[in-house]
Amino acid sequence: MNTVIQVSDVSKNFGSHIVLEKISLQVNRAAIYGLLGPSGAGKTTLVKMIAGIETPTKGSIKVLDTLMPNLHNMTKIGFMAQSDALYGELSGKENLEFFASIYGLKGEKQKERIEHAASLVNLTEFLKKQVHQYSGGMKRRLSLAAAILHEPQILILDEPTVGIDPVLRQSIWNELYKLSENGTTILVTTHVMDEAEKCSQLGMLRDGRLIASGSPRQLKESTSSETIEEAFLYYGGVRHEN
Amino acid sequence: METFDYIGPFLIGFFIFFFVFLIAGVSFLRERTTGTLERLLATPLRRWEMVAGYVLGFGIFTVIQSAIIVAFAIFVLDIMMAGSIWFVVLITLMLAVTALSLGTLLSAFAKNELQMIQFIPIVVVPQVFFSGLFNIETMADWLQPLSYIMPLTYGGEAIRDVMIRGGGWGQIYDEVLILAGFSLLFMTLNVLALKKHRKL
Ligand SMILES: Nc1ncnc2c1ncn2[C@@H]1O[C@H](COP(=O)(O)OP(=O)(O)OP(=O)(O)O)[C@@H](O)[C@H]1O
Ligand SMILES: [Mg+2]
Repeated sequence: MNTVIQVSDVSKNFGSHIVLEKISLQVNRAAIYGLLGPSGAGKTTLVKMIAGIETPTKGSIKVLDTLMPNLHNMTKIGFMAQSDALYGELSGKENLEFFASIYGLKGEKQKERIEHAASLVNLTEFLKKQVHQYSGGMKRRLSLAAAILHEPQILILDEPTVGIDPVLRQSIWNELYKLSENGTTILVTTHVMDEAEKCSQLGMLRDGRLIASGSPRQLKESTSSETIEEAFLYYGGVRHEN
Repeated sequence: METFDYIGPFLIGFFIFFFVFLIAGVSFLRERTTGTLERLLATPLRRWEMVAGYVLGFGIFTVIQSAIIVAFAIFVLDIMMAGSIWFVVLITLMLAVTALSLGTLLSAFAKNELQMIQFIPIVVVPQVFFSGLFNIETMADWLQPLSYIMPLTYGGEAIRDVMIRGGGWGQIYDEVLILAGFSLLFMTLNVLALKKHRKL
């Protein structure tokens, strides 16, 4: 099957607060799908549901043709939360070892994966340091490393590059491209427009609705905009007039 | 026999219960407030595995803690010790596991560390009054049954059985089993409470 993530008519309320309304989208294998939207649009809520940590109020989410949440599927997903969920008292290495062992990575294989993931995010020399002494960006990078340890088929990243400098951000994006070339499906949220350009597919989220989707080029062409930002404003504006 | 010999066994149980309850509760709560709980729920770990893992992990520390407190009471404070020290360690360990499972369960209902501390007057303090340190028969009739739902009642009684009356397994097995039952109940409830975060 080519469709890896299938979101069908999903709505989510917290109490009476409607956070997402009738979202439908699909992500194909090896795509880099970007969810773009302003703060509070519901990006985190949506990716959490796809990762299986939240359940939709209405509608359904299928990952690899299986209804989520599904424990077996969770072995195939790597999730990086928006807030760094790390153990501050442990060193970076210990954090990675902990998450690696949850996914059953042991011995040599574990060591090798930890080294690979750490070097990818430029943290190799800080692995012995306790995480509460890390800077914000270092924690972000460690979270990213933890998400890719078990070589997941699907990578869900909630604002992965916040607080990361442009050089490292570029190298992280290069790695995402590499992963996607090797068949990993990537779902990433962002509110940075220039990052949106880097995705192969985009979903624009605003006030809990998916106002547009398509490749960055399609979105720009169909709104005759120069930039994603303009396209976003265009779609946002159209909705206002209705 | 001095007063201290009488309340000593109870104090051992009380301190173990109190500290383990608080530490386990606060650290499980932090697991939630720092987002690591949610992070774990994004892994294929099962809810019961998380709860069991917590109890086992902390269990190792509680074994050491129990041993230290009991050894201190007996060898340093020189509290009367009629029975076997190993039974006392066993009982305090069961009491610690009970406190551990209750602490982690109740942390689900606290939003921050302060609220966890607010559980002390609700959960820990009443046990001081109802667990046999004071004469329960002098209490109002309707209050007396409360002692049956307090883990410290059983823990305190069993420790006293061993330390003062020199009792063995025959005297304490029912209390030990009841404490094990409490632990299982609290752990099961905690597995269910985690359902709030993830359905599976
Ligand atoms: N557990 C919750 N209970 C109640 N409301 C919530 C909960 N989680 C999220 N919300 C609400 O849902 C809305 C969308 O939140 P969400 O975190 O998904 O936004 P976001 O697009 O990720 O924003 P940001 O870019 O700031 O991370 C917000 O209005 C938020 O207040
Ligand atoms: Mg968010």
